[in-house]
Amino acid sequence: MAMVNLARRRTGELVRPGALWGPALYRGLAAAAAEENDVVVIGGGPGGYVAAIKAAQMGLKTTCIEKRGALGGTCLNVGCIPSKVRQASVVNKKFSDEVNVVSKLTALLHSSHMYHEAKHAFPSHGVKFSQLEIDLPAMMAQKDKAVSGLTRGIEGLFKKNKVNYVKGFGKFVSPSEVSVDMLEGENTVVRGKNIIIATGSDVKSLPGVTIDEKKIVSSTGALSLSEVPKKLVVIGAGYIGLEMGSVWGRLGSEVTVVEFAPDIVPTMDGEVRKQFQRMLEKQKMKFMLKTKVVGVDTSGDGVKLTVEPAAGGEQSTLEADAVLVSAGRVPFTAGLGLETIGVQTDKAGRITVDHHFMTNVKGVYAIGDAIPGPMLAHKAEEDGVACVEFIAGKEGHVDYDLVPGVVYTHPEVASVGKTEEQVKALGVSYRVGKFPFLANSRAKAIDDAEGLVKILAEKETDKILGVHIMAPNAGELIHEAVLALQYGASSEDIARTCHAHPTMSEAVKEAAMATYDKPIHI
Amino acid sequence: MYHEAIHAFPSHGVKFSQLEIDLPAMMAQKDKAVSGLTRGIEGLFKKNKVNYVKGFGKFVSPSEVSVDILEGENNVVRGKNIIIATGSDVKSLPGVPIDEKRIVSSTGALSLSEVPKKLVVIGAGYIGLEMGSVWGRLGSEVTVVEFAPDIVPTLDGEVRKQFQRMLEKQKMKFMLKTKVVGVDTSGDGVKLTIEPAAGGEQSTLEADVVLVSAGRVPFTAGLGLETIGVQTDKAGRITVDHHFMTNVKGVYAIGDVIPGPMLAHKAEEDGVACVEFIAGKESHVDYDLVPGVVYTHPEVASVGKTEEQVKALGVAYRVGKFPFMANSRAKAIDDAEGLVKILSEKETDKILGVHIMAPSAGELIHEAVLALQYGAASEDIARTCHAHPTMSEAVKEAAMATYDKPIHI
Repeated sequence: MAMVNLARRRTGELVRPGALWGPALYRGLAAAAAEENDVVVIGGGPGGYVAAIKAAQMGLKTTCIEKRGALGGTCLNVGCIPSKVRQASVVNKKFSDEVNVVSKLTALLHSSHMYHEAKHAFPSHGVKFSQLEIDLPAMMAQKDKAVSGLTRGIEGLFKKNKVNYVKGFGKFVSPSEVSVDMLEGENTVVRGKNIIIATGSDVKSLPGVTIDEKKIVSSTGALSLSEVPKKLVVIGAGYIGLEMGSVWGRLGSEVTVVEFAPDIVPTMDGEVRKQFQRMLEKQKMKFMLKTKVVGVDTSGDGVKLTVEPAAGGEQSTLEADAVLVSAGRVPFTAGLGLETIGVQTDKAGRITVDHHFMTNVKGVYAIGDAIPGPMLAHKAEEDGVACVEFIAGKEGHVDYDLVPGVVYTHPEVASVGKTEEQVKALGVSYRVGKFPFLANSRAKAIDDAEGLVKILAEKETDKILGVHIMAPNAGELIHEAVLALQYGASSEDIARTCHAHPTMSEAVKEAAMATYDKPIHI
Repeated sequence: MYHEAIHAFPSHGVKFSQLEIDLPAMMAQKDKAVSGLTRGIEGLFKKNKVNYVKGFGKFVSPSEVSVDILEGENNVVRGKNIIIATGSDVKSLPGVPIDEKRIVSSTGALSLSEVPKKLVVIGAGYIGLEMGSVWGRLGSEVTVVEFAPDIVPTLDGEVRKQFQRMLEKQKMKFMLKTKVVGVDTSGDGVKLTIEPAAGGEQSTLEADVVLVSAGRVPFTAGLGLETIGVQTDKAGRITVDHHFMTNVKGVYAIGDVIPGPMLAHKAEEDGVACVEFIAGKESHVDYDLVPGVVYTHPEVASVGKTEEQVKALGVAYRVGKFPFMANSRAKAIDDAEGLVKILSEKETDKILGVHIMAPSAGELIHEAVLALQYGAASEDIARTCHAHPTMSEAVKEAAMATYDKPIHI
């Protein structure tokens, strides 16, 4: 009784029965938000959610804060993972668009490929039908179903791993505190000894081209068009624009790709790029390279774009029903409060980090698209795991030279290691081995034989420097090469490894044989 | 393609009507692909200046082969080194004569003029299952009769179970521990008499076409092996040493005709290694590192040891698995049946075997083959960056599950 009166005098408010247990009760009510986490992750995309799960698995108390109440990633509701006692906090600021876009795109790439195959390949393979048509709502429904399954899966993984999930927009107030404006309306402060920024990236906007996600779309809107555009103009010939363009091209759009630079996908090996572009042109994609878009007019039904040569010159008009802006992505750190705590960024807006992913502010880390390196989901995942391993006092490791790149057109293009241009620039003497899929049994048998495998190796040691593949399944085939590079393999190593017959992978073996010696099948 | 069109396309928004199979066109495409490939090899022979003699060869001495040329004459080909690469043939079953019309081997099964309503496959090895799945997709009612208690006995037991369940979902029926004792082709179709493998009550099975795929045997008949004294084992396979040499100096043998997995790529490896030895160089083939693939859909691919073989070794081991239901790529394309299963030594984490059931298992397996070649730990694969979204990520996750924990399940 006396203690309760004391408490009342101190706080000036009514204290409920059981006030002696007040602090404990308070902790229980306010959940983990008031406690200090070992790890707080801001961002629920592939980098963020992977880091959060990894941290929780390593026994770190983790909280994840997500801005829009939906996580990106893989679907999962089965499986048992031994859970650790403590939780981790991840403050997720940005809606994990990247992975959702990727999943939606994958679904649409597949559905549109099915339609294209039905139209162009099936008859010659003896599969006949009439009145082939696209049911776009059904195609979109399948895509949405696939994605919602996947996003629910990540929430399930968080529950299993006891990652505390806070839905709201986070902002640094100190190097160990993130103020979160919750989706429900309140505010809470999440504390963490270590905070990982995994806020990802956003579409780079072009001056004079306003995205309305209806006629002028980003990749997000491009995946939700309600009808197949008759004419689609894609601004930016990077892999995103080409993938999107090929989806709609297959479904019947007339696609024109406008690109400022002289080449499409500038990071690709030049020889492979040439074949790739030729292949896309065979699929009726048109290219306007060294061209810039200086303005758009959406006053009419469609869109009228004003274009001119990149170096300047005579303007002309391009008409479209839909325009996709895919001219790059920029790190997303707006409203994060970086200035408040003094986190440095470079000229491109990327957060600078050391080999442990730590920013210039102790205890604050950054991973994924928000820092330098390839803006790829799997790179972000690698960053996330390594960063958490460092935080946990272990060793982590990411080698950006061993991150494969894949363009999911059909055929796909996949690469790991150096292009021929990069090898030349190194000044090292090298060998090249190539093998076309026209000479591969599996590819010929299924009548899908466009593409090649190209391997570059040091002349003296035969050590593989780079592998480039254009093929129906290049994105899968590349992983033998990634592992090989990981091991510092010579092309002879791959050549002497048994490859099953008949598979596409035999072409990788033959290209390796062509690199160190001679191929058999060509 | 046809099966996908019926079962998957509508839910993916690709609609059509009056879907039908044009079997002549399908066969024409198949024939075109094959003739293209065979002409291709003739082209490679020309390019590499390989002298090509068309005829049936038979040893007259360890360095001379008498050839009955297709055009009718006879020619003797002399060589310092002679490599026997005569391959294998269908194992015939007593009481089941192959006519390549109603009772076919794999050869006839690929040239049927119409889709059989009922197809009975004798032998649940990979050939029978692949063929069965072809006709099953085109509308046949397929029943597979197998003497042993298991299909594809070389598969990892756990993977085999899922594989069989998957085939059954595709309407394939199985009659295991069953043998065929006779066939009656007097009527329109075929009536098979079957009984339990251990003996017992007989029953009848009706079919329009019967595929005999109960194994293959080395083909050495008429080769003249007795003439020069080349030894074979009880199974008719030619015995060779590590240099592929038979007991007769200067005479070698490779491929299906010698021991080892009866697979095309194994034969190719043998061939290259044998020639390197003949040329005085060093070479090497490791049969434990020859991958096996079953080209059904999804495919099943393996390299290294099954869990049963690992248990038999008596070594402590770990298992890591990852289902394609949890793989983004597989879910996004709605083709997510299957798993990756990795076995590694408990103490060293050295990978002992990898088994994959998935749409592209035959491609995915090669990362594992290379890993085994390098004596990799599962942690090595787990720490290798895998592109997103790909099926290969499941290999990485299974590796993570083997040495530590997976993230995505």
